[in-house]
Amino acid sequence: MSDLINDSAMQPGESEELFVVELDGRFEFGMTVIINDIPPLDGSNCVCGCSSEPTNPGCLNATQCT
Amino acid sequence: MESITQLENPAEQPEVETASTYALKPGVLILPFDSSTRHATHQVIGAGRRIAVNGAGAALFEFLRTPRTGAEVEEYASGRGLKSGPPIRDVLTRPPYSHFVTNAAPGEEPATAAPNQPAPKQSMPWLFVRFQILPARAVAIMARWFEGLFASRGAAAALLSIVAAHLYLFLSGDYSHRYAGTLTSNQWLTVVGGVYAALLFHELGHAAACSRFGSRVGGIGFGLYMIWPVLYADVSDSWLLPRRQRAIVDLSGIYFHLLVSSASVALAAVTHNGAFVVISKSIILATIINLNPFLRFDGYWLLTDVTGIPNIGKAMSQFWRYMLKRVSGPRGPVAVPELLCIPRHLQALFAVYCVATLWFFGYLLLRISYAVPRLVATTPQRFREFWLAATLNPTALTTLKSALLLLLFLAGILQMSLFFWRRLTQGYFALGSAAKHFRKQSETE
Repeated sequence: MSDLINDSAMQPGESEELFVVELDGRFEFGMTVIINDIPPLDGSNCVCGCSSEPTNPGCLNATQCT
Repeated sequence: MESITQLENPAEQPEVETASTYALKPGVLILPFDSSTRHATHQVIGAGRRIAVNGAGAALFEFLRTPRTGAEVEEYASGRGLKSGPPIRDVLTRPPYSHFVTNAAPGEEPATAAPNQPAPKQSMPWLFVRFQILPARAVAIMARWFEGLFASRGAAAALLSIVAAHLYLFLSGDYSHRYAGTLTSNQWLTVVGGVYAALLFHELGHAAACSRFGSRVGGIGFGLYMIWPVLYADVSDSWLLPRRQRAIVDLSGIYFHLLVSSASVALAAVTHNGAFVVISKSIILATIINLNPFLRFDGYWLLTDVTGIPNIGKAMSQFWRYMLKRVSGPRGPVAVPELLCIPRHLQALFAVYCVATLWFFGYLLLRISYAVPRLVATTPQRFREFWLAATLNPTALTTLKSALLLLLFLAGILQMSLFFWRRLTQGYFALGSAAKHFRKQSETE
């Protein structure tokens, strides 16, 4: 590879000013979300007998469920 | 991004002996670099760091493969008319050049063996906390399993399934159905597990693309990016690939993510389990977020590789500094920023990008400054609620997850505040010393 880079790497007319840019590490981030994963904890969406009751801790404490 | 003419005042630099010896460190590679700018034509790699340089820089590094004295270096520079503020031998003793060049005092030999030190971590702005989940060796093995998804037949079949599955999701009405409020604890467990497994698969997608193109893959880990918890795949060696292949590496995370979403849609259709629809909807939303070009998500790297401008963030700040100097500063030698040396249509694109970036970060800052005081005020109450919920229903794992996410968010806010505070104080002191320097200069004049 070093054969490629000698004085001929400087093209005629090219700026002869040294130029350098640091290349950051490439860390490809992945972010995730979970749609509506937290039911209201105050039990405001509780309906007695509905299937959401056991999953919503707020329902256990909500007045309409007791 | 620096050029010699932009570096600090030469008068402040310590004099370097011309008899000192300069040499390229052992193991440093100088390779071609695929970019759209005439500045970044080669990349120099060594000791866990990499820089892009122009032809003149590559030739200088190549010249230093043989140890040279300071006088020889200066002779080389003047013979080729290399523009220089401070002498080039001084420049070689400063970062980033000094990461790749050894400087031995007169009478000493430059290091000929690789120093017995661990390679420094790749720099990653804004990633405050990070730890590895899967080491590079394990990732390399797993990545090879999925290389077939980049062969023409495998890719065609996979893309077809993605389109078909998502068409079904939208047309069947499943997408608009609100399942999230009706899931049981076990279903939530499925959702949380599925969404995070999909994210891990997203990262494997980047690694598999690298593996397919013959690039070395690094580890997969967890990190706190600004205020968001993220998974990351270290694909730094993909800088060596052509731009088109780098763009495929960027897109392959989303490609793999959507494959999981397709599988999830199929499972939902067969089992009629709403949890799988929630997984799919979450992945679609995550895909949109990951295409954001203003933060270092996949969209940013895609923009980098499609336009061929390495390090867009630094190129933009160099551009703003240049404009500021042109408007306010004395007309000295100022390097033309890279963004003014790219094709016209890319310049137009970056004008839009610059404005959109300002708008985006302004909006983000406003939202954060609005949310933080409220968050701080309500945090004790929220933790009390989490505690109550956990004691009432210990199976509610989502509660635990929410508490953990809140803690991470708070840690992220704290980290960012400290970061900005440090930057602010550094800027203040730098401003002070610059003012002192100009005052002295005007006094002597």
